[in-house]
Amino acid sequence: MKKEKRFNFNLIGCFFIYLMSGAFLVSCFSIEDIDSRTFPMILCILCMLLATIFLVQILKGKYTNADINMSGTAKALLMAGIILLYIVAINLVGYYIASIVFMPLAMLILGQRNWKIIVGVDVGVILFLYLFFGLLLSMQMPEGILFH
Amino acid sequence: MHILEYFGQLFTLQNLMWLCIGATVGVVLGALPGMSADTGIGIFLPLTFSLPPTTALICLGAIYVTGSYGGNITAVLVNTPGTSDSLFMTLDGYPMTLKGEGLKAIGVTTISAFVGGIVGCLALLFIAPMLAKIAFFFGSWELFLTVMMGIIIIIGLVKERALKGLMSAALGFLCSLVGLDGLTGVTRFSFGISAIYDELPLLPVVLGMFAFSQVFVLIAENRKSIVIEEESMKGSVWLSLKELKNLALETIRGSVIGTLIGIVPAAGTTVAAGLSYNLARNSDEDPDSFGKGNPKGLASVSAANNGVVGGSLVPLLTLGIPGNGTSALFLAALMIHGLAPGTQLFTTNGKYVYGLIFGLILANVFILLFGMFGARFYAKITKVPTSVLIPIITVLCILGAFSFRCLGFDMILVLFFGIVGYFMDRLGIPLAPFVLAFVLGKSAELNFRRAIMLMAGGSATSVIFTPLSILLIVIDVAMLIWPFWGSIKKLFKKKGAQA
Amino acid sequence: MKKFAAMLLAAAMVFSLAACGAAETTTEATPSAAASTEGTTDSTWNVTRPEGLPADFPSKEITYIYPFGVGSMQDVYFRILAEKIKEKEGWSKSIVVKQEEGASGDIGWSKFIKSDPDGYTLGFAPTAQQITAIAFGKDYTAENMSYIFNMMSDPGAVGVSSKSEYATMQDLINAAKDAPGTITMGVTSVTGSEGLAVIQLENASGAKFNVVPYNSETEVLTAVAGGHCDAYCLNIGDLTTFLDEGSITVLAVGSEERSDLSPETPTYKECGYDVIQVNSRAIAAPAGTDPAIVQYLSDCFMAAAADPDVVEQCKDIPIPYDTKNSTDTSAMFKGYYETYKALWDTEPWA
Repeated sequence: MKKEKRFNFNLIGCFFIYLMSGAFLVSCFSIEDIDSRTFPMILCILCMLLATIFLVQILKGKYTNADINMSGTAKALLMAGIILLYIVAINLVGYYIASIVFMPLAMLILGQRNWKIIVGVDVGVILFLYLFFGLLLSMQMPEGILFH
Repeated sequence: MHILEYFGQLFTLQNLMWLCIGATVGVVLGALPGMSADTGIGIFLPLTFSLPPTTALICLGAIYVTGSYGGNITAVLVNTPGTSDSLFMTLDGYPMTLKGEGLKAIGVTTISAFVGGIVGCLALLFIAPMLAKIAFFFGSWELFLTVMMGIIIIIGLVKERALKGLMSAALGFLCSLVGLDGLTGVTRFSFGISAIYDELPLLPVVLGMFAFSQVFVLIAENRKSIVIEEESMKGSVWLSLKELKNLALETIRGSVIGTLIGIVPAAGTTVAAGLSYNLARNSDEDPDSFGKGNPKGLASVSAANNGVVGGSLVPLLTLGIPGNGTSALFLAALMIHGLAPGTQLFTTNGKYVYGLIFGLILANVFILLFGMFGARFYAKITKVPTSVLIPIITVLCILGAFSFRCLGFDMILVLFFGIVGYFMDRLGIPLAPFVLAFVLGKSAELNFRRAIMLMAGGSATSVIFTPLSILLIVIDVAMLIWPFWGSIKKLFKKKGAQA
Repeated sequence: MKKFAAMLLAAAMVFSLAACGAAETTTEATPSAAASTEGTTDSTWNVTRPEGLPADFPSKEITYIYPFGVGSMQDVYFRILAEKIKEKEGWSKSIVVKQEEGASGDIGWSKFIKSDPDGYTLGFAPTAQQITAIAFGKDYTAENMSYIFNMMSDPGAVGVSSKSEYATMQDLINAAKDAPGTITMGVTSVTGSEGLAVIQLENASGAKFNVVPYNSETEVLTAVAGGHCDAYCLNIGDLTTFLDEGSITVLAVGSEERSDLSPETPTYKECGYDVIQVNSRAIAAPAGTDPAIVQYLSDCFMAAAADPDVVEQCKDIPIPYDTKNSTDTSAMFKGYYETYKALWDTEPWA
């Protein structure tokens, strides 16, 4: 039986931690004040140390893909991309308009096919937000550049 | 018998109406991701300018009380905590829902929140002036030691996945240091982004990692709805007498912890919740059952959470020192109505403050009403198809993130941390240490360095070895060793056997 | 599905009812305000619209950028003034407070200074803004703005715990001279007006303090009252609660003349140290705004501040009033700018 050599996803976590603590460490050097710099530098070095121990243990086989389930990540990231577009839209046309368009779109992508539900939820939620936050609480809502 | 007279003023139409409005707004905002009692009080502050002082205080107080509870429901049912304090409730509350015990979970969290809130109010009512003096004993060194309690909890939480947990905590700590260094005026780690020049805002980060990440988890798992079983809501929200007795200890203890920690200025709700949870777990015969749906865990946290409400108002009303961020807003409310904190508030101006305290007690009763009678209704959320739930949560999370500072950047932040939270969740890197370190890190570092600055002025010993700090050091060390006590004992037994 | 829609509709109705109810009770709850608007004699309100002012001003909402959180006394005061102006001048549009927190005010102020000087954008302009502008080379300096109105001026204050051994300002300063760097002085910001005032006091006296920053004024005072810190340098407005409780004392104030809020306390100058520390809080518009609009708004705010209803509403809020119109405010802030610029050129603090 061929044993498939699968990519150990723990390496992603390890890489991310190296990246973060590395970025912070580099940033530390641009801090002029030594009092401000000391503790973060120690922390960054500690973090990279931990990441190294982690790496060693992954290579030794202590951490496997046994408890890790990455299936569905592609779908999740796709949704994340759409949400990013939604945020951009908010900054262009304002919160209400962007949300009215986003919600049916999202529901369709997630598999909802019942038009009554889609429209009902869309209208209902926006109405609630408008009445509760816009009118009753007169909260500042995100505004778009194009419309006010 | 003065005090009982003040109780009567609660029952005017105006006061009751504003109490109801405040209580409802609080619960709704608390349940919505990203919004909390703070948001509600901030918004209602200008609205209450023209109200008579007692009414205004009662309304804001009600928002505070129910706002601290609202997040419990979503934390327990949907794993999307409304605020950073309710996140501890997801640890045991959500597994209960998954097991089909959603109604029971709501019952547990409601009743213990009620008890916690009442204990806090009673402290406020009977021993406020006495307790308030405690705040003065806490210099920077003492505050550092208190915050350390929170950090030590992290270690207790991650026993099993120590390495991953520590890395998570280290990252959280680094993130907490982003922004203005309070002691030198220098900005750290802003990477050129002006929006995080001051700090990496608490709410969008926590919201993203806990609530928003759930969105991605639900998508990836391709779940049709949160609860999969047909008859998901077994049992009832009304707990039996036996169940109540079982939870009594954790609830009372959580209430006291919440109240006391609420009084200490630096600590805040997260430390109270974490401390209470940790204590409950370590003193239980079956610590491993925590995190898998043990109602005791849920009860201890819920009680502590609402205990903080009353506790934080103690130093505020007596000394003008806010116990946490939300009570600071109360200071503004008092000021606007020309009421100054202090002994005067409890004597000549007594009617306002006692009106407030009784209002708080009544608001806690609202929690019971909302929770117990609304439970079946809220629980239906778990049956709503994810195709509908996810867009709604998204839209609300984005709004919630924005509402914190009214900055567009925070919306991107919540998305970013949502993705980070998703990956951490999937890769088995625990999220709680990150959040704890993130909430407490800056405060710990700041107080430590400030303590050192103060030592340069006088003698180091007078700063480090005050009676309070010695007590705190003992507690910290004890908390550090406790989780490992079992293994240490075994170690000694082995050595004893060998000898 | 039908049930869901029905519930939403019901909820919507409840909320709108509550909103109406809320609005009604708000007006009911202030009988004094209602009574006075009914039979306005307007003898105290005498604002005339200057020549050159567009007839329809304001034709849309005026935005007031306030780059900090809700609840401070300047926030409250401004809202009261704004409402009074709208009411008395019969405007159809209001002045809306827009909060843009972040970067200690930089985000909001940067937006403000870049906005169109059409008279529809105003901004909160405190002394702190000038300090930040100088230190970081920002555009929102006093010369780039048209000041409209000064709300209040909070004099600086130096003090100690009531149990302290120092009875006068000179005692404190001398102690810091004799043992440099050992007397701890609590402030909220080393690079803010308080920290700078301490630097100026040190320059004027030869003393050296151990300056320790805290997160908020209350933290400083708690530390001083609890014996963890020797002294504080804050503003008078921050001290009220603790002063009333008796846990702290004020040794000196930083204004030109003694403050009404503490008349027995000498000024820094009276004690022999030529230092001024005042935190003024004003309203401004970007430079280039129509002078007629600036004049009009200035008159409106001046009238609102003097209005008896406003005075009554604010009587219990400890506002250190320093009402000044646009000309006087401009002069005052140009003065602040010069002082801090001079300090920066000789001894940059950041």
